[in-house]
Amino acid sequence: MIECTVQQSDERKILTLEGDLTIIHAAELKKILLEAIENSPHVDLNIDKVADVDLSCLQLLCSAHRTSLNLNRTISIASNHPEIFREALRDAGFPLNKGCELDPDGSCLWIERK
Amino acid sequence: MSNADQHKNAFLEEAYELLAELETSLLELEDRPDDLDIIGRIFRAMHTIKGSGAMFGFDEISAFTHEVETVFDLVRNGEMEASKELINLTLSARDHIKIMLDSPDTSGDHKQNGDTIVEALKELAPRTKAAQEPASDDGTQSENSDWQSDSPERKITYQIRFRPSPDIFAMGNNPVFLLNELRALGDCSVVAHSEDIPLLQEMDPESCYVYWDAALTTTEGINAIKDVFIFVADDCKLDMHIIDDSGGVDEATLFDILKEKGFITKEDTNQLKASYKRIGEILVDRGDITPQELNKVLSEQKRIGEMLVKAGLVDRATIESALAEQQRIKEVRKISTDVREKKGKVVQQRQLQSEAVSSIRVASDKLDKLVDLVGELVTVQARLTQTSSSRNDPEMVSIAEEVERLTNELRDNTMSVRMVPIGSMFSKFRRLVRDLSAETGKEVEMTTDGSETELDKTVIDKLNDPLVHLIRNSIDHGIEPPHVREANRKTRQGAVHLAARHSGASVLIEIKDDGAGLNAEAIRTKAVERGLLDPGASVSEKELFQMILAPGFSTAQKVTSVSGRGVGMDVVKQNIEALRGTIEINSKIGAGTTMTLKLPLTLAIIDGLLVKIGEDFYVMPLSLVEECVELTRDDVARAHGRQIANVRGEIVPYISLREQFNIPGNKPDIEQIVIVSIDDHRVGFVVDDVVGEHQTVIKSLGTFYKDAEGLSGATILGDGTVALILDVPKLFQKVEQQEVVLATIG
Repeated sequence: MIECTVQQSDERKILTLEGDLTIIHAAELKKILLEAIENSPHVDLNIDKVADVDLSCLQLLCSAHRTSLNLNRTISIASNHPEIFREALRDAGFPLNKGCELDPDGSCLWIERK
Repeated sequence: MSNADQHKNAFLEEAYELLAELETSLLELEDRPDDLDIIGRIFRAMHTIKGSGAMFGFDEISAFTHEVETVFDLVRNGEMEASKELINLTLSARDHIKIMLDSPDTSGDHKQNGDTIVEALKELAPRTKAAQEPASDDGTQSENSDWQSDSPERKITYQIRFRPSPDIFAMGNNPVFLLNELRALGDCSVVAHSEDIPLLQEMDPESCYVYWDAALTTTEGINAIKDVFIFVADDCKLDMHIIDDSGGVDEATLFDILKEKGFITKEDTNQLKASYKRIGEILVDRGDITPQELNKVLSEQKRIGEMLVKAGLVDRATIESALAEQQRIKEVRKISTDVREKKGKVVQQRQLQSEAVSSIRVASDKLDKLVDLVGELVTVQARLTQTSSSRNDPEMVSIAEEVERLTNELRDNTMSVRMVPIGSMFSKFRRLVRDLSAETGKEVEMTTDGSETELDKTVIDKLNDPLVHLIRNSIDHGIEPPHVREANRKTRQGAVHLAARHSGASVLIEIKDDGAGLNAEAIRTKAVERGLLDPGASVSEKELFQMILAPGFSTAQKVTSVSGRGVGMDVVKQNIEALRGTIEINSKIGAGTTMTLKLPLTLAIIDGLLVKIGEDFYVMPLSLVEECVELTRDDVARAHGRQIANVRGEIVPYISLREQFNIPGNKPDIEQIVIVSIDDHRVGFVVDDVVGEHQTVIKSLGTFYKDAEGLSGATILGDGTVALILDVPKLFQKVEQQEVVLATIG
């Protein structure tokens, strides 16, 4: 089960995700992300309390980033990546300091912004 | 049971099967040490144990298996031969894995044993290799063969593109685990390609859209890399090639050649390598440039040879000669890769073939439950048939008949599901025979026949111990040592033959050896000594042989670790009787012994003959029944009080069950004698009435009645009454003993 709390202001939405971001909950996460992006010009993700994350959900977050770019909206991760996240990204081979070709403005979620 | 436990159990089940296969394959390999197919099978079995062991937390097993697998990789690559020593060691390694599986918690205690095996294996590996090398006739060739192999010191950098099928998650695989396995092989950098990830709206959250490029520098061969992807090989696109330098030549190899010829030093190599390769790698690692970008830059770079010339380390001619040599190496390597690919294809084909016969794994207790339910159904169906015929309603009768037909079919099908070929057990004995012959210093060959014969799984499980015992006896007591055999004009090598075949509702299992045979006189002396036989009694050889099944009977002169302690044969007999089976012994002195086990096909449902005494019903196993005859009051009178009947001139003793069971009430004028065959004797059992054939679902009597002699269970009849199932041979024995006691007193 992914626990999801939302703090909404006019311009931004803080989406706090807790629990296991794993394949079992991938469909659920997709729904949460899509809904958040469609309803707010900026989504700030708080992933500090995520217990586990796997490739399926990393893909979804990557796609969420792409989707918000596509809708001229923004999405970002609020603080530094927790270690579990960093490890998952490293294991999956995602570069941590540079976005891909589809990321013109360097807003890739994997880049940590101190 | 938690999910994790379930997976663990599944792993254990699979691992035991793999170990069995490993053993069979190793023994086959002993006969055909060059068979690549067998070597491949052994390697795959170990690889799977290692892989799934690590996945389910059996780290010690995984680590140990890895060591053994590493040595077998050398065999697979033709760098080491499958010597007897290696097979012995691998067999003990297999046993060690089994011990670790049996008691995972105490596996630490066995660590030393495992270390010893690994040490011995490691010692074996280089020695065999060294022994092979002088075989090549000139220096160049020996160099070549060195190149051809993936020798431990040689680092090769591979570029690997791994594009899994989108449904890799659904198949229970995690590509990240595979990447981590790849990383474990050496120096590895992995870059994910995420450009195929679609927008959220179009995305299937359970598909994999990412693919990877990896650059791996490793001393392990290409096989090791392929093995990482062995489980997903059919569902992914895997491109692998060795990264050559810009001149089309493998840079590492070129350096090695130059270094070996003394043209450059190790420092030079390092310096040159560091000058361009490292930075590129670091940049890729950090994600600052993509591997594609790096490749593009590299392609514009000067040839490595030119760089060396420019640095003044070597002249052009040296480079040319090194290049020529390199070309040859490439060709050689290509040939060996071709061979491996062909091998790989054969493996794939085999996998496809095995997939064609689709099967599922079912826990045997589920099957037991199914059999129980079918048993209940058979009982209810009997009741339905009985009720419908008493109602005299034609429609009802036709429905009941239909149900009966379906039930019978269902019963046969369910029973057949539980049937497994006996061959799996036979192949286990191959190892036993091999080890025993080594232990006793005898040469024994085991042959089998009828391994496709099917038997109920429970019967097979319970048959293991008795058969092990009988085979041990054959080898230890039966087969003579080679010099004795030669002196007796026999072949040095003794033979043990295991055969299985169907015979009616029974299966006959034969254990036959061509050893010394049983000494009837020795048995007689011993039997008299033990008070089992009167000194002057005349008994047939066959009956004498049966005596060896008595408790505490052993004619072996000395007790060995294998047998001769006199406990065992009686236990064998008990075990076989518990399965409602019998043992027959035939032997000829000097020529060998044959033990024949006769076992029922299945344990749960038997064909029985339903009989009635007073108001009670009893079932006798139909397989024992030979015929039924009438017994009139006149017949009894003619016998003058002796319980014998004259059946077509033949005298048949009988036992009155009414008297045996103390059933009150009056006998009918005409009773029935059911004549059964016990150990080749015809014996009659007198009952009031023979009802007819009855499908009997055997129910155990429970612990309360476990001491009730002469009964093997009970069954429920159509009208709900209970009928006891008679253990006919036991009943006969019991009465026989009573008679002996009476005779002694009298």
